[in-house]
Amino acid sequence: VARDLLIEVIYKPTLDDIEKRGKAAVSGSKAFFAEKGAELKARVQELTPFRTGFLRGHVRVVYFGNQTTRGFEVGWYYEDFASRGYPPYYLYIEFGTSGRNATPSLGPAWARMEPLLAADLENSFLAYYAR
Amino acid sequence: MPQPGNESAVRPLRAAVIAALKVGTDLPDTKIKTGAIKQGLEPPYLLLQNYEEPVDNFHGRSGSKVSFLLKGFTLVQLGDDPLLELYDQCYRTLHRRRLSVAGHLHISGTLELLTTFPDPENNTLIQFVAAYEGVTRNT
Repeated sequence: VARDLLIEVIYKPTLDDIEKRGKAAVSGSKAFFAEKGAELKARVQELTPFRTGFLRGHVRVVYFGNQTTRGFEVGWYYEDFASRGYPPYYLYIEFGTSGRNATPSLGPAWARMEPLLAADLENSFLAYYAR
Repeated sequence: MPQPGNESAVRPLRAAVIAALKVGTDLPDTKIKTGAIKQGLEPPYLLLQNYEEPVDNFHGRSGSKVSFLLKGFTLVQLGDDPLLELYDQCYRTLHRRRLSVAGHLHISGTLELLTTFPDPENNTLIQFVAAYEGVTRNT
């Protein structure tokens, strides 16, 4: 039942969007998502409880995309912990257990970014065409 | 002013959520908690954690946000199925349903399953974690 704990952000413009804004604009979004992915990772790391540093050091950002889809995911991968013999304790930290209160970092970091992300993306397109 | 954890001054919104879950799940009344789990509590049970609402909601205010983590616990040896059945009951109870509060106010929101995992501090338990975010509206 253990699983990865990730925030996944996907941008999938419609064909009309692609025609209107052009492949160049979608290509331009690569830099935008690179910046936002790194920013979310940094925010998560700021909030992650620190003891040995393993948890903070294994917050990962992975980018993906092609001509019609672009995105990233930020969080902890089960395999990173399992390969070191650790349980997925990021789950216990983020959500708490029966004997421990939650001390979340991924959720609050995303909560700060999420309301502004769509507007920031729109602004990045506008800025692109205004050049 | 009501204080969290003071059962003699339970906030109406929280009380409405608990009441709905009691009706919507097959758990006994005593198995829904809004704080630390008491020792000896037998699974399955639910826990409302990180409950948040504006203090002035105590008197009922439209347009206020309500959020909390809902956790469900069952025995490890029973596996995922009863746990997910418990979540399904909670989902049917809370997801986009209007819960009446004090006869004039309603909460409606979404319940999202975040994860399931064995509880590392109690090796007899397995738990799910779901997030609820709702908004109050006057009728």
